Parts: sequence; structure tokens; C-alpha cells
Amino acid sequence: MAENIAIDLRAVSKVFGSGPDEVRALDAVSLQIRDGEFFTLLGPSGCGKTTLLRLLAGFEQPTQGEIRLHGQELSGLPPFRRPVNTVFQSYALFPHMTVAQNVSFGLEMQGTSKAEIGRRVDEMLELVKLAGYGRRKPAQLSGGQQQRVALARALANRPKVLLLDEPLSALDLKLRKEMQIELKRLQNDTGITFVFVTHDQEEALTMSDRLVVMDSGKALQIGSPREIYEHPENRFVADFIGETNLLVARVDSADGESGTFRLPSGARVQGRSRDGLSAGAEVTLALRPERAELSDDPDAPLRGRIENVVYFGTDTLYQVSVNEVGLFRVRSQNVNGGMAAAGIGSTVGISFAPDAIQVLRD
Amino acid sequence: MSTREAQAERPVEPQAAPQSAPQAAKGAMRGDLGAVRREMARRLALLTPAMGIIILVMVVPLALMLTYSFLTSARYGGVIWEFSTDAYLQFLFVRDLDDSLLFNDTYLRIFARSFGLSLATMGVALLIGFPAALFIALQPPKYRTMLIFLVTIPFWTNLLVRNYAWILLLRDRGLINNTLMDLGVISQPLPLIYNNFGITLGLVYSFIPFMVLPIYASLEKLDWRLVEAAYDLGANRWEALKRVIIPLAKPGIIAGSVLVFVPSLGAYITPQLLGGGRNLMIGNLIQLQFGASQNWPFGAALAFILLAIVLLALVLWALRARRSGTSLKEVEIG
Ligand SMILES: Nc1ncnc2c1ncn2[C@@H]1O[C@H](COP(=O)(O)OP(=O)(O)O)[C@@H](O)[C@H]1O
Ligand SMILES: [Mg+2]
Repeated sequence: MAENIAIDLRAVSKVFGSGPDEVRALDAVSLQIRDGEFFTLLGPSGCGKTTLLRLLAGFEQPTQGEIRLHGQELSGLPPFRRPVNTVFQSYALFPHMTVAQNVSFGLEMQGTSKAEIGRRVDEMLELVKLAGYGRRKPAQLSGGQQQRVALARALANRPKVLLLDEPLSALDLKLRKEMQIELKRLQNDTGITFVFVTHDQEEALTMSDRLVVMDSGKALQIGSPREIYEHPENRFVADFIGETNLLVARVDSADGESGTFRLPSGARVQGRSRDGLSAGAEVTLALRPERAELSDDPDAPLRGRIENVVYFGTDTLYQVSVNEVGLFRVRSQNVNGGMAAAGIGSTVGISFAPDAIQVLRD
Repeated sequence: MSTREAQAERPVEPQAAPQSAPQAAKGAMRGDLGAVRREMARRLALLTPAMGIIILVMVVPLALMLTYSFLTSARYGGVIWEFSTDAYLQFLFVRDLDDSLLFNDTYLRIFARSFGLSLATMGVALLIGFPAALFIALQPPKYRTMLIFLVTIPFWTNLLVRNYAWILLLRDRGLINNTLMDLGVISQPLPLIYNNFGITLGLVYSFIPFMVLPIYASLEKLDWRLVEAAYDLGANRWEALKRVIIPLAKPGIIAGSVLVFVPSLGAYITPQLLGGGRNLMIGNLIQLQFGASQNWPFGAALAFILLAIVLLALVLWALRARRSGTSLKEVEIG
């Protein structure tokens, strides 16, 4: 398996400044990025995503820990010796050069022959659908086109890893959706490992093979979009990705696989468990709104009064106020023409399947 | 009646409120030429004081000089009000006994030497000034202001005093030669002064802030992420400097070069003191005509020839810059 690892971070920390100004931008981050995968760093602004990319690119050196690229220790290797290229957040296109000159820059630095450079530049512009734009200056292009030039420029050197720092954040929604598909296609076509940064959870879920959720310089959870969404390990991840209902409960009984939890209302619910739970301990349970349903079963584990009904087209959101829990959200698919199952003010039960309950590690 | 006609009749339309501002302005211009004229007159009136000063301190003296250059020289300075092109002829020719003109390159040589020394000054100033400006631009912001302040310090003392200081340093029994001889490094004093070396050194010293400041101004605006992008694409420091930093600092480099070259060309004190009077530059030649030689028209003509050459060079250069500008626009369209 080891040869499949493109990037291996081992307890990497990065501290800026010293004394009272000290900022720990990365705090003992360990993660492995597989060769050829679309890997995403997801987290709120200021959580250290850019810092992590800059460490990979070589613009910053880790304060602690080590970074390996295909087994090679990177420390001390300057940016221009790393087989890694970056698509910068601001694009950073050279304003005094034409599009073609921008794209050929890296090739010239590598000492590629003139004929080969011409061929590769055409190929790259073709790849990003900008054939014929080679003689323009960056300032004569739209934001989306500049974005593509930045991509072509970074891909021209055929890097082992491509780093993308929020490349889509400056684009409007429609263009962003197009570029998301485009990026996936490029990654498929080239087979290059993409390390993609975003603070947009939807973007991260739809594009990534795997992702890491970061907060305050820490890597909180690493996994496939499905793992992260369905089985968030802690409150931050559960909250940051999608909507979630949080319930405080006490462990009744639990083994490694499943457990019974007692809600403040006294109701007992079944759920997926995890190691190290002892009876009587207080835990937080997470439950996605779409995994819960309204029911008229009198034994439903939660009961409450519908406060609000919001129609979303594909589904409807019910906000149910539940004693000792607060506002609980239930989403149900609009399969029968979108007629609300119950109106505001009516009292309903809420039920869910045992595997919908996730015990958080806090 | 169509709305168009209505608009033509009533230039200031009450319903025109939702119109965009430029359209409204166009309407006003089309309709009320009188108002436009009044506005122009008002602007002209506001410009008058500035124009007056420019005319008084620039145009009048220049016109005076131009007039003098076409007059006949009086024997003991001053002019005789008699038209003559002798002053301009004197630049290239001497009158033989039989009144025929013989080519004489004395003054041309002085011009050539001045241009050579000024170019050398500009080159050396660039070689020192660019790295200095780059160094300052790379310092943390709080030190930059301090360093720029230090660059301007030579301006704080009189040019004459500074040149005398250089004489004390450079002359045969000066600080540098004495130290080197005391240390036994040399047995004869080095010829540091009263030659082209001394002049160039003095000029570089005098004008280098003019090189550093504009280059610093363009480097300070530079987006350093572009340099990171260059590194990222495999450029080492030297390549990044050559391919990204220098091209982007070009406006500053050009401005600095012009600002050093032009005053060097007209320099007077430095070649006088550090050239020892043996290596004339244009400035000294002109001063000589108004002083010892008492040939005012020739002095005025020399000044105008210099002005013409500098203007021609700047215009040609500006035209070339504009042409490369237009070729850019062609690319834009193509
Ligand atoms: N050069 C720097 N000097 C000091 N602090 C920095 C520097 N770069 C980043 N930081 C700090 O490190 C933290 C992480 O920043 P960054 O990696 O840019 O976050 P993100 O890209 O996730 O928004 C922030 O608190 C930021 O202020
Ligand atoms: Mg960032």
C-alpha cells in the first residue's frame, strides 16, 4: 500500500510569530493523500488550509513534523525543486505575459525544447478549452478564463501533485458549477493527485474522493464524503457538514457495535456505538434531519409540536419543538406532490432507524 | 410628435430622471452649448494662475535664451541686437582667415564625453540602485520608511559641501590614498580624482536617490505572489528576478534612469570640482561662455542644442513605447 501514498504528513505543526503574537496555524496534522485521488481540505476560513498548501508547495517550512512526497522527505527542498504546482487563490497570472507565455513559463524553466513547448502549450490550452486565446493578456480575460489559464499553467509541467487554493471561490454560482465538473474531468483525464481547498461543504462533498475536515489547525476527521457525512465523529464535523440535530443522552448499555441511549425525555433509543462508552456516561448523539421521520406512532421516541414548515421543492423541512431537546429538524422527501404531512401547531411523533443515530466523540 | 423630437426641443427633460448619468450629460451637452462654453471658460479661468507661473518661470527665460542665441556677441559679455547664426555655427565650425568654415569637433567631443559620462553614471546608478531598492522593498514595512529616509539624507546637505567632502576622500593625499599607502597596499596614490572616474563617482553619488526612489515605488507595488508563482513553476531566484521582478519594475527603472541621466548631462559643480576643470562637461562649457569667454549667444545656443537633443531622445523613446503599446492593442483585437 505504501507506494500508493502520494503525500504523507506526520504530525506537522506550523507556528507563526512568537510570544503573545504566536499563531498555531497547524497543530500536529497527520494525514495521507493517496496517489491519483481528489483530496479536499475543508474547513472554515482561518483554519489553516492555505498554510497546509504552502507547506506542500515549499513556501513555508513546518515548525515540527515531516512531509513526504512519494516517500521523499521534502524539508529544505525549495519550491522550484518540488514536483508540485499550485493554482493560486488569486490566480497570480503574470500580467506582463500573454496567456501562452504564462502557460509556457514552467516548461521554459524546465528547459523543455521550443518545439515541445509550443505543442504542450497548445495541448494545455485545448485541455482547458482556451485554444486560440494564447496571444491575449490575462487582463483581457474574464475571471473564469483566468482561472482556466492558471490551471493550464500549473498542469503544463505535469506535476505529481496539483495544489488548488479555493480556486472557485471568486466565480459566480453558475460558472462555479461548470468549473467543478471541469476540474473533475481534468483530474480524471490527467490522473494527477489534486489537493483542493474549499470552505464550501457542498463543493467538498460532491468533488472529493476523500476529504479532511479542519478546524483551528487540527485535522478533525478524514474520510470519503459518505463516511464524513453519515458518520461525523464529533460535534464540529456534524455541524459544519450539512444540517444535524444534536441530542444529549446517557448511555444505558453499549458494546463496540451498538448501544442503547436514554434521552432526557426518558425515551430509550438504539444507535451505533463506539469503543470506550461506559453505562451512565453523558454523550451527544447526532441525527441528520432526513434520517428522521414524522410518525403518528404513540411510542415514538420523541414528541413535539410543529413550529414551522418550509417547502424546499425536493423536500419539506419541519421544525418541531421537542421538550428538553429544543428545535428538532425533520426533512421528508416530497414524493406525493409536496402536501405537508402535518400542519403548524399539530403534535407529532418523531422516529428514526437505529443506524441513523451517531454517537459523537467530543 | 415623437419623443425624440420632444427631446430635441426640450433639452433638459423633466422625465429624464431615470436616465443613466452619461446619457443625461450627453443630452445636456447636445442641448445647452452655452452652458458648456461657460463651463469651459470657468475651467480656463481656474487654470490661469498655474499657467501664468509656468509662462513666467519657464517660457519667458527660455524665450529669452532662444533670442540671445540668435544675437551677436558683444566683446565684453552681453549681446548686440543683431541677428546672427554664428553661435550655432560655432558649435561645429571655426571661421578660417578667409571666412570659410572649417569643421571643428572640440565642442562635439565635449558633448560626446558628457553623454558617455552620463550614460556611465546612469548604468552604475542602476547597478547599485536596483539591488538597493529591492533590498528595501523586501524589508518588513516598519523598516522600509526608515531606509527610504536614509536614502534621501544626502539631499539634506549642500551639493558643494558634499563634493568637497569627496575631494578630501579621493585626492592624492586624501583619506583613501593615505590609508592604503599607510597600510602598504600601494606605494603611489591611486588616480581617484580629476578624471572621468572621479566625475562618474561624484555624479552617481549625487543622483542615486533619483534612481532608488522610483524603482522602490514600483517594487513596493509589486504583487509578491507573482514571484511565488514563478518559484512554484520552477524558476530559481535569478529567473524570477529576470522574468518577473525586473519586467514588472520596468516603469520605475525607466523613470529612475531618465531622472539620473538628464541631470547628469547638465551637471556643473561635480565635473568642475571632481574633474578638476580638465574634463569639461556640457554644464561647464556653458558656464564658461557666460563667464570667462564672455560669449553669451554661444552659451545660449549650447543650452538649446542640449535641450533639443534631450527632448528628441525622450520623444523618440516615448514614440517607441507608444508603438509597442499599439501593438499590444492589435493583439487585443486579433
Ligand atoms: N504569514 C503569516 N503570519 C502570521 N500568521 C499567519 C500567516 N499565515 C497565516 N497565518 C494565520 O494562520 C491561520 C491560518 O491561516 P490560513 O492557512 O490562511 O487559513 P485558511 O486558508 O484556512 O483560511 C490564520 O489565523 C492566519 O491568520
Ligand atoms: Mg486560505
